[in-house]
Amino acid sequence: MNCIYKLRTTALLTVTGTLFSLAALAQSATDTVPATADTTLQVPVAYGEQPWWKVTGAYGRVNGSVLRKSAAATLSNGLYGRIPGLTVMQGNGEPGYDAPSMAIRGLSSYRGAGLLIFVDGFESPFDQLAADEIETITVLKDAAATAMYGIRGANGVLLVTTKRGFSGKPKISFRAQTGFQRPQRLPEFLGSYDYATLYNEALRNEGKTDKYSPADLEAYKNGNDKYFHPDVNWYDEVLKKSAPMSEYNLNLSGGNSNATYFVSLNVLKNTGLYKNTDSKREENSNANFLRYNFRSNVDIKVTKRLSTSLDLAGRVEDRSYPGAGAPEIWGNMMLIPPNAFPVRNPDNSYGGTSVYRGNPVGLVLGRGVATTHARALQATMRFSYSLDQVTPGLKAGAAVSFNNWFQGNDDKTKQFAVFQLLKDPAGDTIYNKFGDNTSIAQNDGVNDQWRRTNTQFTLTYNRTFGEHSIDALALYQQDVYTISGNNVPYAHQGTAGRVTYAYKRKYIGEFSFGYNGSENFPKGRRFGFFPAVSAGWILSEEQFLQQAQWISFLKLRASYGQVGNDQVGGRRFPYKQYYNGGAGYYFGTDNRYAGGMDEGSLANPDITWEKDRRANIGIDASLLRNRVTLAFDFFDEKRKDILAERYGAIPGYIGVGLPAENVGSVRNRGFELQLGYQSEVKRSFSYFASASAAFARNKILYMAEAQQPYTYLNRTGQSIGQPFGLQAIGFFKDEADISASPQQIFAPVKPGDIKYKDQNGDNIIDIYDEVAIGKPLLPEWTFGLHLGVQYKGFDLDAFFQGVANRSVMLSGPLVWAFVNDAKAAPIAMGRWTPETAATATYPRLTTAANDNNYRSSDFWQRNGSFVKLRNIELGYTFPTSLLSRIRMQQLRVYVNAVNVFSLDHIHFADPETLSGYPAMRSVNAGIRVQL
Amino acid sequence: MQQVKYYIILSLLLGAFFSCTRDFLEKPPSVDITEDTIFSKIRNAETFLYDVYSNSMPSGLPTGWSNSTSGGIVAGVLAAACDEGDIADSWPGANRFNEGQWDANDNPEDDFSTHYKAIRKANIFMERIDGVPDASGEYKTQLKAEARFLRALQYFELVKRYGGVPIVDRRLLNSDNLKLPRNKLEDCINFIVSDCDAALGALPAAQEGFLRGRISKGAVLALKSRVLLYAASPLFNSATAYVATTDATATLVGYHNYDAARWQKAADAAKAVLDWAPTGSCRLITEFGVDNNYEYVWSQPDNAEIILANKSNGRWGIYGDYFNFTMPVNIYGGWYGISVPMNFVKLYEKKTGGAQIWPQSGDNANAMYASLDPRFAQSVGYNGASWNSEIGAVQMYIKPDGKPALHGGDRGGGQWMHKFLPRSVTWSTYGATINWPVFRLAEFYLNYAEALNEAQGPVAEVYTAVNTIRARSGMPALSGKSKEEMRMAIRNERAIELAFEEHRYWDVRRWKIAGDEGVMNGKMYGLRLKPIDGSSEFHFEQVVFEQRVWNDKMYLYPFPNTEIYKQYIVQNPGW
Repeated sequence: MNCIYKLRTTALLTVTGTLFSLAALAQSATDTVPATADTTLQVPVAYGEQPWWKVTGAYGRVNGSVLRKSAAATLSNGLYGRIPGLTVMQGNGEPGYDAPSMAIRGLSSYRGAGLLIFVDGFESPFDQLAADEIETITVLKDAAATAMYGIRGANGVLLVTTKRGFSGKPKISFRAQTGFQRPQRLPEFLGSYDYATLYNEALRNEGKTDKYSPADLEAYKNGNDKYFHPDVNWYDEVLKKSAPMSEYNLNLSGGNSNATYFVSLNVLKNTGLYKNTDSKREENSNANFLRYNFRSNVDIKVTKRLSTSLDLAGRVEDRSYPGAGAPEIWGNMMLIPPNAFPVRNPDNSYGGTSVYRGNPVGLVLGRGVATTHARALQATMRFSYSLDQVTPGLKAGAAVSFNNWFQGNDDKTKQFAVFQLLKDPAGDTIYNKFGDNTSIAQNDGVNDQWRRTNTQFTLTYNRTFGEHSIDALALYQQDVYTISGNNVPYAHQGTAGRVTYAYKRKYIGEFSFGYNGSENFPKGRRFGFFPAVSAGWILSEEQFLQQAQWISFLKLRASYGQVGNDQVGGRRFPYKQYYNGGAGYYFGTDNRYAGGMDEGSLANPDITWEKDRRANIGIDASLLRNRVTLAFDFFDEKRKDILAERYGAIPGYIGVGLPAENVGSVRNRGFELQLGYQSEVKRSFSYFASASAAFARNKILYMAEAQQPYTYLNRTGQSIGQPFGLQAIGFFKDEADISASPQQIFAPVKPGDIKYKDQNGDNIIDIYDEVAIGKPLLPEWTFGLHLGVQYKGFDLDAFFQGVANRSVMLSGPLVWAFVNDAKAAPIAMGRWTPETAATATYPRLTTAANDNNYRSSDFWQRNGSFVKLRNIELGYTFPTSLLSRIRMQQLRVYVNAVNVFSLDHIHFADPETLSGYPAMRSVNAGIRVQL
Repeated sequence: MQQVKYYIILSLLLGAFFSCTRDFLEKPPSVDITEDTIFSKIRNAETFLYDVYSNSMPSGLPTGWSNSTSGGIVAGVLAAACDEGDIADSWPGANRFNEGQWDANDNPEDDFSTHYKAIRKANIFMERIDGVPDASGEYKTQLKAEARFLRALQYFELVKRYGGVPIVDRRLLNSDNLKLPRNKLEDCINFIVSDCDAALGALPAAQEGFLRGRISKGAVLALKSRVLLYAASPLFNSATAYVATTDATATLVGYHNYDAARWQKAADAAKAVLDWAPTGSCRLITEFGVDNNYEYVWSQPDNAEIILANKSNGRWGIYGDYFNFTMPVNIYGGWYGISVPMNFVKLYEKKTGGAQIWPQSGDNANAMYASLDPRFAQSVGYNGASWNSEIGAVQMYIKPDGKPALHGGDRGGGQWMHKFLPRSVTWSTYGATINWPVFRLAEFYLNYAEALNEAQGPVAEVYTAVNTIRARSGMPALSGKSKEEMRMAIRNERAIELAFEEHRYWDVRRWKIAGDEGVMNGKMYGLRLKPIDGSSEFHFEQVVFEQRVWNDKMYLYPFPNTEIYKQYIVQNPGW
């Protein structure tokens, strides 16, 4: 929101893009209303740019300078809560693999949901770009914004724009930052004494005898027998307290009237948490991620009419890891009980047993090194030719872009043996060996790649006739996307256009369309037409508001149109039918296997794309001399032709998998609201606050669901991803309670097991008693709060993100004690026993899997809402008077912290990363110099 | 001039790209397998047929947690859902049958549409096999006959559960008018029989060696015999339906008339199997002695007495689903075990012939067990009997402290099902190969005896057939019976000889005796043993361990509601 900043700094924000400015500090998420009267300021829109005041669609935007503060190795991790309407959910924190998942305005389809992401006008992933090379990231939300993407636009579009050169004195800037990171939160587990005590109890509950004698328990309590009665906290043994991360960036930009340039080099070094690893990476390796980003964006005016640009963006990514993958390492750390075996035996061999062979320290140190080496190149060449001689304002353009990624591996892996310590009858220690120590095996045979080739031709027309202005764009584009291992490339082809008409800077009307096709559909049914209309009315320019001094700017927007989605889910080429491997059978007196082939699901020769009709109404306002800014958007989307198989209608005797048919529909509604305030500068002091809230709720209107015996079982009418489960109503008190209650058929029940509600009154608890519980994993609400103060050279900036209406289902070793040989978490201490029946918070313990207790129910569901302080930064900018003497334009030092704290309902694990490599908290210090 | 140059360049560029865009979005050739690939080579076509086998062969060995996986009933065997057995825990599917807690929403025994997957594949195979170029016409005819048999087999699996079902004899498309109604029961029986007759000629008398498990003439004759026996039996061969219903529905669930000639047809079909046997190297196992013959037949996979075995799954691991669901508690991977109620034990005659009378209590459990038909010890694990050389004697009694002994003693019937749990399963073998017998020769002696007795009374061939089966296990010959006495004797013989082979469950339905007290209705008795001080004998006491619930509508399954809601099918009466 934004918007308003000091005159001194606004001057720096120009069309060509200002590289660094203090203004950026005061600038929050988006630019719906820039605080400048400069009507030529252009903002990115589909396949081009528009003057900001002509925009009639719904957009969200964030500037690169803001992303820099999040100090995230992966660019998309800087987007949490930054753009209202863009929901970003954290993934794991493993260096090099920590990209989050994203959704724009929630979900409108229960099938394909991927966003379309463009970097400088061509499709490309952006996670591994550097924040310093980013000008803006723009989210395209409504039909007016996305119609030109036609068959591909319905899930929303993300446009990443990189910086470009400008005509003027060269700017050289350098930034260095280094810091440390540690897990936001690690799960907690019980120590050996508590574990063994509970384990005995679980065995007794099953009518078995104790495994641990009183002497064993005593030994665990004393903790002085580290070999035969160990108490290992695997997280302490495997992980360092913190891991360093550093980033260096050099940007050069400038140019003259004939040529401008932006050149950038970025180096990122991110390390993992594993302890005692070999820094030379010969024996083993920490998780390391080393990334080099290069970029050269050059614009050349060849002749008066012809201009060209060449963007070369390259990237080298070197990753190295322990020979065992993160899921195996973190899975075993979470699984192996503290008393199972010592980390190392007296002879320094790895401890282990026949059940637990994955000694986590061994997995990190004893499995060798795995490395991957990736390089990426995006090369784009554009031509623009002025056709003023045909008619003034007409231009022809052509562009070709090659985007290429290749990754090879180089692994030197090995296996290790674990030894179980035992005492023989004579009391001597014996070693029981499991697995083998192997010598290093080399493998560099795995590689992976993708490539895209894109071509675009455009005609643009921009002209003003007195009070009337017309901007028009016509475009042809085609692209081919090839992924290794997939023998048929993905291809798209089509045309698109946009006409914008403005009268007197007051009234704006726009029509845009996409007419394009996808290889996924049968011939003759591949192309679709997707139109959108939109209008804007700048009320603040009207006579009747001229008197209202407090209104600086006020615009109403509305749009309506249709976009499509060709990523319909399911198998590719659904219009063709295939045969697949089947069950096979055994023949002969020796029962020998003979493979079988099976008929695949039926084809749908009429298959088509999803269609999304969407309406949007918006207000942009700037009040009180631009001190207060406001932006509001309301949207209503209806997606139809979502694929579904009509199992609910077609008789079962057809005997084959049914084809996916375009029958489903989903409605999605919500709004985004932003409010900002920027104070005046008084005695060198100023502050700002900006808050945003976004809400999206969808409802499945139709999905060809089979008729259910009870209406509460219907997924139709619920949100996409709505969890279903049993409703826990306490624990069984005693045998009498069990016999007086409905029968629970999942497993035999005993007192202390979870008792469920009989929803249909049939006296049986089964899957027909599963009702909608809680909310989907993707939050309905997202919030952002951006606060900043400035005093003289000092600035302090904090960003909070929050989500609400979200549920998480806990499962696995994190909460389920002893299941699949797991350890026990502290919550198991609240287990049911006859004595604690009244206060128990956890079911009766068992060592065997208990399908009655450990299943999807609201007992294990938690509120997944949270508020996180995502970033806080304190900086000091040296006075220009001082710097000019050493010919420096700017010098700023800063410290920042990322993921500082989380307020949530889970407490013992991060609500976004419940298992695996955790998300990181970091503290960094940096310096930025501009010459 | 300058500008013209750029126009030329631009148009050349445009031309270069547009010229190759004609079929820009067309899918290029790749390695996809289509139906034509399958039916272009006989080797490929055979793999399609093997999948039909895999989908069509019935099995009584439970393989999973879903009613659509082949075999048994969710987490148990069908024997536990009739008077042969009882599952020694409350939650598996069989117990829900015994308690009457199953319906059109949830039937743990069957998934209606899974049968039609096999039928569809057989239909496709029959449609396409003639067009395969690289095989002889004779071989293709044989393969087609195999597919035809498998289709008939699946229709029989449907008919015995649901009565008349829609007959789908071709591949359906989702664009077809799919509202096919149910066919009359009579049409379904005729359809199965005509498929059997059509398949018979093209098949070899026997399939041996590496072809063992493929369809032979014997399998076709066996299916025909079983179908006609069911068709002649009271459930179907009756003027009135098993519960009151409309005339139209009555023809879906039965013939809606009685015809004694159906029994003669059934007798002839059974006789055809017995006549075929020598030509197919099929015979009763008699060479291991009266105390071993019977066990050899069920423990030795696919032996000479087996006409057709389900060979899918190959080997079963000791912790696999099957052993989890069936091994008694504390024996290898067993979770609970299938107990054998006294209601069934009482059907075992004395070794010397004639019913054994079990008093309410006694002090001679060992002696009582020892007095029974030799097949008892070869089918049931009871207190004191050896499970195998590793486990030793089964301990099934209540200890003086009131707690059950190692292998139970307070559960269900008081003795465990041992059949199909071979003694060769030990910690060292860690499993066994078990082939479920789809058809074995002994059944057809009993089919013949039953049908012929009904058609002609207890003529000499009836005695010969029953007594052949009894003699093989050392039981004295029957003699001097009236038709009714012979009917009861044959039913008893069938229960014992075919115990735990998924016959009893269907037999009590087709005889319409499931609702009789003590079969699927009313009190189920278990034996409770206690050691007697200073003696190796055990005191026994009969107790009621379960009250079973039966409703006559259960004689046929309900069609699942998921199908009923589609409104093309008439539900069976009572549901």
